[in-house]
Amino acid sequence: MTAIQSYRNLPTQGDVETQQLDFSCVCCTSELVEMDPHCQQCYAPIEVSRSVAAREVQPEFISVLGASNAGKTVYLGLLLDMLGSRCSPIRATAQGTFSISLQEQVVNALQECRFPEKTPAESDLWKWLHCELSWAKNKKQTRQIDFIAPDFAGEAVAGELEQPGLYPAIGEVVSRSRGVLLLCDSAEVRDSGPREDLFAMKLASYISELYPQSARSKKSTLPAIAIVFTKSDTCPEAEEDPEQFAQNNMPRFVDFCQRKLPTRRFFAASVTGASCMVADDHLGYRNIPLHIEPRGIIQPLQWLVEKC
Amino acid sequence: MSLSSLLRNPFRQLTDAPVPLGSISGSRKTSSEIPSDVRRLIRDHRYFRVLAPQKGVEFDDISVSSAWQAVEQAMALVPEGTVLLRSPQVFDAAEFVGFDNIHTDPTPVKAFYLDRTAVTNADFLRFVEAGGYAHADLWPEEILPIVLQFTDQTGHPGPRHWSGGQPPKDKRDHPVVGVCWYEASAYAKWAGKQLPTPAQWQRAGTWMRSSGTSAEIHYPWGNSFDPKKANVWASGHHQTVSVTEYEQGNTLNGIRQLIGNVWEWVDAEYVIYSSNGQPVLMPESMGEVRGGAFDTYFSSHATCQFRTGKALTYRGANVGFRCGRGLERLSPPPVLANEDD
Repeated sequence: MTAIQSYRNLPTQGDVETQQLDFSCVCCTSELVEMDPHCQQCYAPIEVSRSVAAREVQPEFISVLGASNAGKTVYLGLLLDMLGSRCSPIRATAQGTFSISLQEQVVNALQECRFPEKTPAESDLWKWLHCELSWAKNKKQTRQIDFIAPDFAGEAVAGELEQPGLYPAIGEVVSRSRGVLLLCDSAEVRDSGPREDLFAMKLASYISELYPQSARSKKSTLPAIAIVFTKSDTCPEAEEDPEQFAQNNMPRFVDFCQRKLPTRRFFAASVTGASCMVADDHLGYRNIPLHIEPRGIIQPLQWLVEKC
Repeated sequence: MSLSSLLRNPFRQLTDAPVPLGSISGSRKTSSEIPSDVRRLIRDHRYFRVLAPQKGVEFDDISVSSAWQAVEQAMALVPEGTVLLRSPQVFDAAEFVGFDNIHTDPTPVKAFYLDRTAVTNADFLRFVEAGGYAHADLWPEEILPIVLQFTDQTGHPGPRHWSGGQPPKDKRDHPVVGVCWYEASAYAKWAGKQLPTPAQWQRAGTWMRSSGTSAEIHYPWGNSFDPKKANVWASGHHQTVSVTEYEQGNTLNGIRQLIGNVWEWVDAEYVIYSSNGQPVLMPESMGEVRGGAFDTYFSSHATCQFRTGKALTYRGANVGFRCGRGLERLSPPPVLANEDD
């Protein structure tokens, strides 16, 4: 036993392997063992499962999906920060310090007029959130749910679409989600031809394939899908009428949704008030936010929780 | 000389003559004695057309005196001094590209007048009704082809969110928004004023406690942000409010809402410098805006020092403007002129 282990009175490696925790992975329900910081099946952090076990409330999953650079990290981090404000229609209370890490990373970066670093593709490096959401259902009633949302890397989402099971956490979370936030970069949708349309259709297909039973029974247990056109400050067409923008620029995806995903709605959201591009010797051009004025960030989640 | 008298009588600075307080109001006349064309100019906040008339045009003492009364009511004198402007700069450190506002040397600012409030919808309506959008002299030549595109929701010349050439009835005392930098400049020119320079705008918010200390205050009321004193995201309105609200955030000389409610166009192009000479690309030329708006998320982006920009043709719901005017070439108040004689 090393000095540090002795000092902390921790078990040795040999003891650890046999010491099973009395709660399972909240993501894939695998058994968990002490000292492993992540589930060995899906790489969800054990602290998320511990946080859920301590609450004794069945949590709802919300998936945030999208291509690389769609703005998932910024959206999720700022969303959590806004939900902590007293002027938000939905309030969020972070469960566990790990839930604040993403918010901290995003808010600190935006305040300093830069975007946060890209989310790494390795699933054990993803940040997860566990929050209690509460909102007024009517004048007398307040509703509360626990929600869990991991910040998936866009590259991992693309990899999972190509080879389902490559990133088990994505499949597990999506298959258990009552709501999905599907983020699309509005300027890319407008300017890059059918690429974004096809990627979104693949995502929609992936989601629907994870719910085969419900389709047979014709009872809709499919998740509600909020399609969010991000960075709409650079794409006024998306901001003006997101539904029409989708029909004009993503006809394949819209058609697929009409056939397979009955509960869906289109939104537009943006975080920056203005931005510029700066040449970077290492990565080409880097986008720099000049000031932050969020729009349409809370509404998609508000719609989702009402549908859940 | 007291501070209040300095602010009330700017010509004290120019003439060095003792000026009794209220000397201007002492020559108050009934409105019927004021020529109708002057009354209209004053009503439209175009009093500097009287006080700094074009060559060959002269106004009588009654008109000049009335125009000065209007200036005192609608505008505040900002005393001369210096400001520490920050220069927006991109820097490249190892593999990290960052952005900061770098301090530059103190910039001198002469005394000037600044509107106490942002230009309201009611104010701007007078410009629209006077045919401001059709007056070619008010617009830069290169922008004339697109002035026709500066229309409201119904295709009438006017701010983007108006309808039928009219502002929303319940927002006449809100700052006009949906106007681009060119529309703001055209209005200022029509009114015989200018958009304030970045240094003037910053001086207006920081003059109170800047002398004697090395640091400028961050907000007109001090260094600590307070959402009860400015309409920003944290205040919870999430839309514009009347220009008379948030009185607690006023400057000592009665300038309202420098911080919050709407960003304000100033008379400068927004340019970002690069420490290593890297090219900085902007989607289009940008004008500088100051002060933050109802949807500004971080209080650190709504200080007197924070500089940012919007496309010169941006006609969003969160940018308005106010006007200013230097003291040069103004007719002194008649009483002053008599005393000098």
